[in-house]
Amino acid sequence: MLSEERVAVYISRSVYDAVRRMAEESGEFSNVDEFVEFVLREFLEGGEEAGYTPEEEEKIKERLRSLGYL
Amino acid sequence: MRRVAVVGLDGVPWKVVNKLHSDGVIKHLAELREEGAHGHLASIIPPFTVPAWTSMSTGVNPGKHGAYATHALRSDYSLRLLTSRDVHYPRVYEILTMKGFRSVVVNLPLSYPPAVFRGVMLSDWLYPRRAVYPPEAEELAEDYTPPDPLWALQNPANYAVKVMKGLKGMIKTLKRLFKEVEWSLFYAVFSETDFLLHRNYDEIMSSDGNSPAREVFRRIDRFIGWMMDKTCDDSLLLVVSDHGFTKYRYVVHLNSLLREGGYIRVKSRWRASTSLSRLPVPRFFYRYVQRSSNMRRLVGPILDLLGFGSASFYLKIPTSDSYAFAPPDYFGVYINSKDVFEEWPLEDWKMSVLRKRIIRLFNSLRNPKNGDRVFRGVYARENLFHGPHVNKIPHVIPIPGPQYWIDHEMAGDVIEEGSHVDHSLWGLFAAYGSDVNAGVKLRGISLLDVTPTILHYLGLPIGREMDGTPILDAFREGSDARSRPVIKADYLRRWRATLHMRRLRRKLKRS
Repeated sequence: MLSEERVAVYISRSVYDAVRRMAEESGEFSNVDEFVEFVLREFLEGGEEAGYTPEEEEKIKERLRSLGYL
Repeated sequence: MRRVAVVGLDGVPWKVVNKLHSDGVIKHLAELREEGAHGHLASIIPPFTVPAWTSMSTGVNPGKHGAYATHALRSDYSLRLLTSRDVHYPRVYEILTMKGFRSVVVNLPLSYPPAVFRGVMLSDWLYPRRAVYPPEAEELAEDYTPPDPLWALQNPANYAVKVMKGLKGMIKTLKRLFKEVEWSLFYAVFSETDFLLHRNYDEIMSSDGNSPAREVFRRIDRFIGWMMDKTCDDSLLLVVSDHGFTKYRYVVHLNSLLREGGYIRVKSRWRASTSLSRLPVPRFFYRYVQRSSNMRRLVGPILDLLGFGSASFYLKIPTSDSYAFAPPDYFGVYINSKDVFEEWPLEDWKMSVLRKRIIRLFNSLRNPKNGDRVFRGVYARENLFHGPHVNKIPHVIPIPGPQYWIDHEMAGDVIEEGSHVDHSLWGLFAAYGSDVNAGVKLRGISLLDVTPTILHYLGLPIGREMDGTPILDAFREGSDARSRPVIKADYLRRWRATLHMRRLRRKLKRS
């Protein structure tokens, strides 16, 4: 990741200050760049939705019944 | 770079390992115990698959992660299945993701779909369909099918044979993932052991040589041997189970006891559980069947054959009319009070009074056959759990004595005699690797200690809110893991921020 080319992005001072405070408070990030990169990467990754249809829920309940949970 | 591999054997206690080893069925797990560190691993209350694996993978008690059962109780007393998003504390692979590490996670209950994750995850048996994350890893997992307890209903006679077929594909996939994917944590759970112990306990624990069920254990043991061969310097192999199994002499029907005590009022129609729950069952039929455990055993398989699933007879509990009740899948008793849901009828002060009475009722229960005290402890929930989700846990938690198991049925007598196989409170733990304190017997360890041990070994802080601690005695004197101080960090805030970002992204995608 360090070898990747870096580019500058301009944001408003108030947002920058808020982000800097958040990065400092977390204790996890050494600077604002690192924090912003982490957040944006997470944002891009997304993730699959959880939740079941009624048919799917019934299927899992059948599995649980077969083991005596229900 | 350090790596940790975790092999989960759902429901396996040392008692089963000892029996299979003495009969010559397995050998590698016994070798691992001799050459590594081992001990009985205390499960949690309740010793059920979802809360136990969730507690193990988070290092916190159910009052903090919120998954006390497989379901969440709704205010209308119906049950909603939990999803992986209902866990309110980061699991070990999520912490590693936040720290830039990659993981392989296979069949860990309630893990799929992942929210904060880098690596490869294959869906677990509690997810309704087979799935692979990310989709590009599909080619690596083409032989994988999550184990399914319903295979037993489709073909009871050949259940173990069917399990074996799925197991071969799973092991083939695990070996590929182990070798071909970059990972720091490899976490695979075999649920087949639990499914088979539920149905084939006597067969597994008998000395009749080989059987298809025992062959499943042999195959998993061979995989553990393969993992031991692959465990090199700077890596740690953990074999763990979430709970044990044992045979109980008596089953205590909690709702029958509450009914006898006058806490449950039965007014509604009597119904069967299972798929039949949509069909009213005549009261006379129910009364007839519920009187006799033999009748229930006779009718159950017939309903299985008719495709209604495993039949467990009990009376539908009219919860809104009752002072207290034990819902299915929950280990404990709820009082019908507003501190759980505002819609529930009883005021908080009534809860306190009722709870004292119910605890007294449970504590005074004696087995009429031998005079034994049935429960070795009956607790208010806040005496066992702590955290922001305690108010969703049942108010009263009865811990049964050694010969007793509890269930939610309301059938016949309060205490029913008869051989019953079910979960027990002790699982197993074994650690293997160059840093491990070989031959040591570990005492006083809990499944809450597993995630802190993994994080500490990998050189990471443990979570500030974690209830477990690293099992330092598992590591040899002078090793880095033994001598390095345990550091704590707050992972919760960052994890919540990450989840928030992901929710925002999904919202934007939808709009």
